[in-house]
Amino acid sequence: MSITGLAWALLWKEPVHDILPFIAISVTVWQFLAAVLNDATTAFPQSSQYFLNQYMPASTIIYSVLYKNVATFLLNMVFPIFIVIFLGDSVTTYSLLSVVGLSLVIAWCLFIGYALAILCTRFRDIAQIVSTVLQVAFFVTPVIWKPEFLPPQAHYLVSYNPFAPLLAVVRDPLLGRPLCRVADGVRHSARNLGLRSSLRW
Amino acid sequence: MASITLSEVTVEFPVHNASSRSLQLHVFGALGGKLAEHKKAVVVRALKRVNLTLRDGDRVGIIGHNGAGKTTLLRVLAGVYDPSGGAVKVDGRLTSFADLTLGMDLEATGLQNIIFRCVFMGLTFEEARRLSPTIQEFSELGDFLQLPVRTYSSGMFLRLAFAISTSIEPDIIIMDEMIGAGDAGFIAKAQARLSELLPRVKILVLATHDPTIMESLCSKIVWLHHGEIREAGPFKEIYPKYLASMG
Repeated sequence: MSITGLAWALLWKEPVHDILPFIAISVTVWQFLAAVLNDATTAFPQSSQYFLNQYMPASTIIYSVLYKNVATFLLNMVFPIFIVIFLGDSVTTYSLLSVVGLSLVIAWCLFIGYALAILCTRFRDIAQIVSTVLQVAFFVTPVIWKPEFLPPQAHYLVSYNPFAPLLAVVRDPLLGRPLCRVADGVRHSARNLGLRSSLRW
Repeated sequence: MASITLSEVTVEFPVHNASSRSLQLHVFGALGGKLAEHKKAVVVRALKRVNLTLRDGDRVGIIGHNGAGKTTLLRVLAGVYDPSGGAVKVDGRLTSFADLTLGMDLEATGLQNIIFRCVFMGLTFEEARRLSPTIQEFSELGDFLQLPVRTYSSGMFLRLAFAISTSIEPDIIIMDEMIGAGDAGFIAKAQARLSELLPRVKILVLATHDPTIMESLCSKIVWLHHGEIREAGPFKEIYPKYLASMG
């Protein structure tokens, strides 16, 4: 993470203390997202012994996937938080919005993960599709590059990317970046939540 | 007051093969061209219009040929399968002994596994901790309980699982093929434990092939045949007919 930050700082001629916290937080949140989505695809087939022998509500499995990955995420976040606090004075009370953002991300993961798990149990090749899509999305989403680096004609990569607001709501309050550009993405996210919550049973 | 009521319960399983499980094949099939033969899924009807009513004091043994639907029926009772037709109504606290080791983690110690298994059976952590000393005593594993369970022999492991599973008192017990675990000394103790536990249980449902167990434990036998209840009645009546049809 630190090495990527340093290398990118040289490549894009951005000051290190600017881009390193950005990358640190983005990568950690991305790892959480990717882990949850990938785990969700195999959640039901792998835990079949639990709910084939006694009654267990299906959502328990999804909660356990989330719980495991949130715990890993919090552990991984120690270092990036450290970097943010150390390398800048961007931590204000505005940064508390990051916690709200995190709960939004977790809720999104719950609904999308649940829908994915159900789909993947019926159609077994979706698991691999998800894995590939996530790998591609890593480069197309502002994880290791700032959205400001994009030329105007490529801005759609961030505006129409469902992962971009997920990263932004956690990362931007911590870095003191304004969230208004992300407003479209947040609205998109909220619409997603509404859709998924109707699917959930 | 425990009761189980099954009315016209039907359970069907769609069986998918590799090609009908593929989303890509579904999509490309619709676009024309024979990319792969993806036939519609075969539906297996495991239970057909089963009607069963059990009340307090019923001890039911389920017999039938292999594939008759015994395990499926037990799973419907346990709430694992939602029937595709008909209704199931279960009143009372139910524990399924289908998998005695459910919830046990091979890397955890015996003591930790006692807590895990109890919680998987529906107890709270507090209740599990309270039960733990009696379970430890019954299992007779002594200092081994401090070691991870992967170091146990399979007999010791099942002994622990049995000790934990029989330490709670549910209203309804569901057993799929009664187990025999442990050395001679423990078998005697286990049977004593079961004969002490079972009278306190309101309803017992048991699937087995062993006639001695059926004769000693069951007040009623249900004979399943290809997913339907062929006959139900006392052991002495049903079992000879069942044997005749098998032989």
